[in-house]
Amino acid sequence: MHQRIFGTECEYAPVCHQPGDETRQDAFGSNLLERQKLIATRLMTGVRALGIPVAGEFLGNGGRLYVDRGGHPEYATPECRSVADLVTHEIAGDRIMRRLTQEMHASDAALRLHVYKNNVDLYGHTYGGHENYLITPQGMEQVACLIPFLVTRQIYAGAGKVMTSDRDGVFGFQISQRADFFDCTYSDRTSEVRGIINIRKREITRMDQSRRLHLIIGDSNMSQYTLGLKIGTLLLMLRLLEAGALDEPLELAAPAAALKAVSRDLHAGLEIKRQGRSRHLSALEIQSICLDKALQFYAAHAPDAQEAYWLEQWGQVLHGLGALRVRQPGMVLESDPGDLKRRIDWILKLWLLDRSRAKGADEHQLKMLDLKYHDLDPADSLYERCLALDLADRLIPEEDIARASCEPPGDTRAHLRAMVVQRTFGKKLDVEIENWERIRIQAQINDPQARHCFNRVKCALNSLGIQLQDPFRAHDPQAMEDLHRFIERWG
Amino acid sequence: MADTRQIKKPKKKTGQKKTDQQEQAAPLSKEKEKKLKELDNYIEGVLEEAGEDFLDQFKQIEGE
Repeated sequence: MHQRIFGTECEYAPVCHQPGDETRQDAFGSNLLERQKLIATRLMTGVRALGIPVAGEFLGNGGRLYVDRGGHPEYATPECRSVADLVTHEIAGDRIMRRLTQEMHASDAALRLHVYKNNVDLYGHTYGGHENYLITPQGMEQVACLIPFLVTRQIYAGAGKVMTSDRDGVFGFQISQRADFFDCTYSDRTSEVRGIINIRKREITRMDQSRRLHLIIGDSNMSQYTLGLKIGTLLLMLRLLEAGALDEPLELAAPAAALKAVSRDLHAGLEIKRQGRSRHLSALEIQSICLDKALQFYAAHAPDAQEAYWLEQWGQVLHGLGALRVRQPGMVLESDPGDLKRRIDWILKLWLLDRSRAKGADEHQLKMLDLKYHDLDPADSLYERCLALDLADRLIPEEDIARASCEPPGDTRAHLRAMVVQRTFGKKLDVEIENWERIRIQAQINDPQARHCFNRVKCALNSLGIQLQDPFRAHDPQAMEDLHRFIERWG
Repeated sequence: MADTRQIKKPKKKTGQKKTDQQEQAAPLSKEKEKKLKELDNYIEGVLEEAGEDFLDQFKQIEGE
């Protein structure tokens, strides 16, 4: 499958900071789950005020905004076909969340609401940044071949996390926020017992042609580049997987344990045990082998411009990681000749923490800065400040991100969905988007007779169904014509 | 993979490769120094404003 549909889901973490004001805490209730749900729901109600067309949980850019498990506001990007579109739309989700927070502040200036894009709180609760890829059934059968790649990709895709110091007070830092929350290789659950490969089955149309690969293993990224590299390299690997070019798997002896170990190995040099092999490999070596396989494959199959771009970037980053020096113990970033701190989340975060430690910041303050790296408020976000000071690389122009709040990708069914949301917004119509594949539009009629269950003819006339079963189909002139007539008649 | 959008190329280092020691010893430009000073001031401000109980309040419910 050369042309592929993919998207991400991001669970955000809202917090109302209460500086000694107990009464305000009560305004959202004392039960944590109820409070989180209330905050998330209030955030969602601001979407209309921002002028973003919306129908139920779906937005005028084809994406989806909703309250997920644990009261986390969650944004799912519209279906994308290019890495650039995906990065643009995920960051657009961050911007929407930021604007919703500002909107809530506008209605209550005393509120100190912050929304973070990270994956773990200070009490050991995690929440996800998920990825979805359409792959072939044959690719899904061979998905085990991806595990060594997935276990080790954190060396460039991790968001970084301050750990509690050891008994001697030595500073601790790990590469990934999510690695410690995975206990097995496969699981159909997304909480409690998480697997490197999530095998929860989702009903999708055209099951004979495609499957949904659902990954919950990744960190949420602030860096546009890290996000792009995470997705871009996986797309390259999926191409190889489906072509049978990963037929000699680098099978690991204990993938979940390796995931945790790699997260603590800032040199990426720790040797990982392989199944039935005496020669162990480091995370960097495993990634280099994957890259070599990709280079071999693309030597025989001309890569498109985007594949060529991410192949080159992958190589550059692995080269930079090979030259990176982190002094252990103490986790001091000694040398970064590839200047990866401009591009890779965990390295930028470690560099920022190093600067603060040099000025005497204690562990409590370092954990604070870790969290502040992920704040979506530009006035409070360490990452955003680095971006503003040109200390971090920008992948997507800001104007493209701003547009993506209301504009869908033009080459997937998200475009069709977005057109329906935009054209019906503000009309006297009830738009029910049942899922990613079906839309039902019902006219709002005051006449009680028209709603009578026996009045079948009228019921049929005042409702319209639109199917979006083909994820590659961005345009449906007949459906748009039907919609146009329906709006003229009932809207 | 389709590509409908322009990606900005990350800044590439140019010129001769430097050794690690040269890298560390290289003097910072005035502009870079100014940026780093601004960053340090910003971090200081963030820490001052956050307050002692800031972290304790960051409690979430387990998600997916």
